[in-house]
Parts: sequence; C-alpha cells; structure tokens
Amino acid sequence: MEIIEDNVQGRHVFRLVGRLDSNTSPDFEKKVFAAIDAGADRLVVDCEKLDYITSAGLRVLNKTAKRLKTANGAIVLCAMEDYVREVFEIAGFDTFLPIVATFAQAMEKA
Amino acid sequence: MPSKSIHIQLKNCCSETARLCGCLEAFAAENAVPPKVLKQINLAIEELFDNIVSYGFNDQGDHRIDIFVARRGDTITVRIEDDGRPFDPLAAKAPERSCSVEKCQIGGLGIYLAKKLMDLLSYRRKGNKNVVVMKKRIAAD
Repeated sequence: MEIIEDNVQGRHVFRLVGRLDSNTSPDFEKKVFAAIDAGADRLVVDCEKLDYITSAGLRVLNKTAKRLKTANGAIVLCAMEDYVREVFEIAGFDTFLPIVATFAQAMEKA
Repeated sequence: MPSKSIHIQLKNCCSETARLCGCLEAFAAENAVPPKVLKQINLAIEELFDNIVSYGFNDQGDHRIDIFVARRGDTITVRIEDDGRPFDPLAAKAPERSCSVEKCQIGGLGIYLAKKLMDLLSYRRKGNKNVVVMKKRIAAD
C-alpha cells in the first residue's frame, strides 16, 4: 500500500492507496501517530483509492479517533467506495467516525 | 457454470495474505465471481487467517493453514483448516455495535465482520484440526 501525506490548508491529509490490512496497518499507525506527535490535530483520510480494509485498519482508525478526541482534534474520512463503506458500517464505525462523500467536504468538516 | 475449486496452502505468517489475495483473484476471474463478493470473501478469510496466526498456536514453529475455495452454482464455499488449539469462532463474543469511540470494543471485530459478510459460518473440531466452513451466495444483480 502507498500512504501519501500532505498538508492542505492546515489539515494533515493521508491518501491511502491499496489495501489497509494487518501487514500495512502498523506503518499507517506509525505515520498517523508521528503526525499527531508533531502537532497535527485536524486529519483528513482520503479513501478514494483505498481498495480494501480489514479489522487491523479499523483498529488504527479507532486508536487515532480516541487520541484526537482527548486532544480536541478531528478526523474525517472521505470518498470511500461502496465495499469499504460497508465494512465501516458493519463494524459500527460510521457511528463515531465522520465519513463524507468528497474531499472538499472533508476539508470543511475537519 | 463449471465447478472449479482451488486449494491454497499458507504458512502461519501474516505476510502470506498477499499470496492469498492473488490466488483468490485468479479464482474469481476463472469463476465469474463479482468484485464485491471477491472482496467480501477475501476479508472473511483474511480475518480468520490473521486470528489463527496471532492466537492459534502454542509454539513458535511452522504450521500450515489450508484453504479450499469452490463455486457451485451461485454459492461460494470456503473451508479453512488449521492444526492450532481448538477455537470456535462462533463462540466468540460479538463486539457492541453503535458505540462511542471511547466504548468501542475492538476485540472480536474481525470474526464479527466475517460472520456478517458471509451467509453461513460453521465450525467443527476434526481430529487435531479446526475446520471452519463459510458460504456466500452470489446475489443476482
């Protein structure tokens, strides 16, 4: 998987490309926590090119949301394909993670 | 519809999921399995496989996990066999849905996803092996 990091208008953006599973999640976790440690508190996770996610990926997002909540930060996910969205919904993660349709909406909300 | 089946042998190592994914993609292409169903099956197998690799074995040694996938009519059947300690995924407690970020229980989430994405999941202990059978029907669009 490829994880592209960017800073756009004060938001720390992660663009996920490929598969977020038990092999790739540790690297994603490391990068997210490094960004938060460096002061990022408004995160946008762009899922447009995310093909696949397992519970290992969900776990990292859960930890991130918890950490940001204590820091009064925000995380917003966007542009998920149907299949990925279904996994979030089955897991119940859509109840506490904001998921919006477009990157522009995510930038506004984060 | 021709009835084809594949047998995938994986070592107890998390990085084997890349090979699993490749084998399933080839199976889906040969058996006209829709992309969404392929991903659902891939996820269900991968969650159970990750679980076996992480918690299934009492030793540090090498083990083999056998995965059989077949299509008959509109049903995909998956069988997963491992020689780890007895573990019935159906007995695993489901995490609480609809929860706040603080209360979200993360344990058991992978098995819960597998159960929800498949139409059937069954378990039996056969000799020294755990045998999980899952079925997924391909819905007509």
